[in-house]
Amino acid sequence: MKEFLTRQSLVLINLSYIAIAASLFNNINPLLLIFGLLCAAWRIVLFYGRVSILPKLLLNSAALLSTFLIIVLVYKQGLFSVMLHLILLGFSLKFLELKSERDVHYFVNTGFILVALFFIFNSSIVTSLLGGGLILLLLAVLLSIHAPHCLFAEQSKLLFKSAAVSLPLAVVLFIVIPRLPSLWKVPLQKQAATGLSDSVSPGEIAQLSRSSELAFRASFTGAPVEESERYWRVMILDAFDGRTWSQSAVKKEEEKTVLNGESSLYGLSGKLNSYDLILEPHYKTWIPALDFSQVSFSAVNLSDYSLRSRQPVFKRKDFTADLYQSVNSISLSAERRFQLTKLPEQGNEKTRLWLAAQLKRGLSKDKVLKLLLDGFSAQAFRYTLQPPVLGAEQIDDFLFSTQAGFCVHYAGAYVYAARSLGIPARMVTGYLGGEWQADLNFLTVRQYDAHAWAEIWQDGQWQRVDPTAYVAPERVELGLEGALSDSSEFLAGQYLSLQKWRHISFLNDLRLNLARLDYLWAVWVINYDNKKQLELLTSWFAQYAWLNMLYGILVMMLCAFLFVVLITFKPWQKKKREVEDRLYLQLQAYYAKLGVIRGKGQTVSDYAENIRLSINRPTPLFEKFAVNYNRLKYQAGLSAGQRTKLIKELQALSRQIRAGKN
Amino acid sequence: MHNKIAEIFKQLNQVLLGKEPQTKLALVCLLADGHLLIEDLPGMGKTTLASALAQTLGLDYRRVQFTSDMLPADILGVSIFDAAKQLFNFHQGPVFCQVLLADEINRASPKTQSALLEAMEERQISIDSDSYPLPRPFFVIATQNPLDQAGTFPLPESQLDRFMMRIALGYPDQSSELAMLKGEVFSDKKLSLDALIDLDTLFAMQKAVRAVQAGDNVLHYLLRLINESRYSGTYANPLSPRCSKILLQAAKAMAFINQRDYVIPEDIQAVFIAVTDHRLAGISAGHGDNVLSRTLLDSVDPLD
Repeated sequence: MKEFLTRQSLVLINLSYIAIAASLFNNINPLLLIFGLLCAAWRIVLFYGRVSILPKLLLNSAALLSTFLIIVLVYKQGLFSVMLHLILLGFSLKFLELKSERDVHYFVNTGFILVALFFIFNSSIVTSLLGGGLILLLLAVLLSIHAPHCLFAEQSKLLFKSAAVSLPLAVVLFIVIPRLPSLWKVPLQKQAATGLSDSVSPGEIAQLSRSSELAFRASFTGAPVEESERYWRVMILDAFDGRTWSQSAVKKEEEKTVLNGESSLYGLSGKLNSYDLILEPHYKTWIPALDFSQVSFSAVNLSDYSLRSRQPVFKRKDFTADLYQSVNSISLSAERRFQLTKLPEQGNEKTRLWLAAQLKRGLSKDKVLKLLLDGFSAQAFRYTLQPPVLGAEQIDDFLFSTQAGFCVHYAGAYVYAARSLGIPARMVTGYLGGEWQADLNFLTVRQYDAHAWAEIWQDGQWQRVDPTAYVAPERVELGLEGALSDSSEFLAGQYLSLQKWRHISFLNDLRLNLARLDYLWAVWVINYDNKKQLELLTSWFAQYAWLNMLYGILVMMLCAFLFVVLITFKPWQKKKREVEDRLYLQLQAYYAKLGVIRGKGQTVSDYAENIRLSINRPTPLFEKFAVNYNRLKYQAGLSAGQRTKLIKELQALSRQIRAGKN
Repeated sequence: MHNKIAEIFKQLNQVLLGKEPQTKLALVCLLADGHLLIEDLPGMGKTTLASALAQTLGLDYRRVQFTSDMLPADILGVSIFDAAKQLFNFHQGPVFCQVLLADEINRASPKTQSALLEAMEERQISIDSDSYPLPRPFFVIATQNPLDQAGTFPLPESQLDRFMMRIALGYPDQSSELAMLKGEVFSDKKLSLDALIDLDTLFAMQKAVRAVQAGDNVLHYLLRLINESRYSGTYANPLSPRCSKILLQAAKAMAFINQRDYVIPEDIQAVFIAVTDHRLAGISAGHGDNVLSRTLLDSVDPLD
């Protein structure tokens, strides 16, 4: 077989393969990667003529076998993953039959599909740029196949030029094309959910790993909510078995009904504010919410005032929530009251005794709880992310011996105490605080802002109590970093995180700017949906009342199209015709009507001869025109006077000819 | 000077009936100081054209019939030991003349071919340690049998490149052949023509050819033709810068013969096929169709 690939194309093909495979690295089976690299290596060896091309039978059986293996390997990861793996398998196998230009086209097109899949997993600004790079790489492969004679510099110039030309078109299409609902949904991936979990066992956590990964961002329509009020509620943990806080069966049932879109109804009153949330994908349905919030579409309220999305958040998504001052109180049913005061029968005797002793002293239940909280701030309790492990009697151990822990320990002890006293209480997990970026008015909340607090039922409504605030008030006011006495605990192990190095001002500026850019990207690009589109277009066209929106969109698309046409044909670069050429072209048009069309390579004399033959009589005027034309155009050193004279003659001749005097 | 040209034409066309374009190209080639390769079947009048040209221009003319057993010394000359003087004496070969008719050049072995072709390029020959300049002017008119004929060694591309033009004569039309058979023209045997010009006039003409002007417009047209051969991807043997120089020279001579002192695209087109076809086609050249150079000519618009 004659090798049709140039060395450059082969290098580009391999590069784009490796880049695309690397971009999907987290989502594919490493075995497939190894297989693909082997295929690529085989193609390189073939290029050097060390192996011969595979027989068709072998190729087909290899394809079938590897397809089967891949399906077996990734079957459990769900349909989407199987599809991804099969496409990548096809992409890799293409190396084995890269025999003609057509095969390269297949390769490149498959590559484009893989880049599209890459965008399903990634949507930040940096990854979008990376995706753009992948597309450029694939286009470079095409260029190297179709323009092998161009120099590398010319090829890159062409590549970037064509990419630059298509950008404005892409922007206009992005702005005006309506967002269609997806034809098929990406099935929920079996991916580790980041962020909060639905159960927590404080005693078993020796070290809480904290991540600086982004959880969500929020911006407020009105004034931002005060720092001490930034409690983002996510989940209620209302069952305790002595070791683990988790959701009761009733709560779990309620979570399930979310997918049916059933919302709990409770009256909200006194609208204060509203805020926009941009959630990072966490593959669950929860939406962090301030007290008390409501989202009109696409989300439902739970009876515990938290919000749930109707669909799992598997890509960056935004929600607009309204914030209300108060919620109408409802009565607690006997069943709920029983669940919310339920504790294990046995264990934690010291705590129970202590509580009983306080009651015996004649203190009211409220006072006892207050005493506990005051104890947190007064006694030797300390806030740490690396607490000692607790024994079987968790609450006793924590309250009376270790006296060190983080939010879950404090909230857990408090709820335990409240329930022991017969007061309905529950643990709430969510996020606290966030980093306020004043210039763009948005709040960045990261995974390390995760928090747990308590709520107790008092006077017919739920009251928030944050026991952590008593032991470490800085946690509420300054955030996590401020609360830790030993700052090396903050983001321990995450050396690459920019958060870790925020005390270096240059790096901190960089981090803030990146965050800002990513925020704008999320607001204006990722979450540019039909609603935003409508708003944007209406705001543009509101100024021109006579412009119907539909026509406006058409005009914009037309403009983009025109732009591309102009950039392609560059009429402004068209050489300005000389007078004699213009006259000549006029005459050509005249004779073309008579059926004599000048051949591309024909000179004016040949054309004259042609005309003479086809109209079958001498054409002295046109022959004279031809002679003068040649003189004017080609004779070097004509004086200006001679030129003018010749031009005049030519004009006269042209007029006469077109008047039919020839 | 132009009267002389007309006279020369008249005389040449009396010898070769119905071959005006070819005689014109042959004259252009000599005026542009280039060598001429005539390719055609035996008996088409190649030799007649060559000797008529030489005699009409009043040039010293030799003819060498190339054969496969010919050696370089048979053309260039040989050093012979003179016993009386105890010296080597150089005896000039037939190449020391003004017009050399190398008949059937592709029947000679490559060694002999290249000896001649070197002389064509350098216009001098080197034997042992001595160089001998050839007379001025020095034209080689070579004739070549088509390659499919028996007993031929094809000229390689590099040597084809030494010839400014390659022309084919083709069959005469019926009336010309009839006139020939009736004996109304000179026959081969007793071809003896008057010299119409002397050497000084020839040099003056060559000087006038060099003085013909080529404006930017026509040079751009020429370059578009050359670049089309290089970058369109259609041509296996693109045209070299030497070729573009030669093409311009030939076009100037054509302009001169057409009594103009500036070059126009018509001049370039008139010489283009003769100048470029053997370069574009290389060894694989067939005779007669010139399809490559024609395609090239048709794909470039003189108007742009």
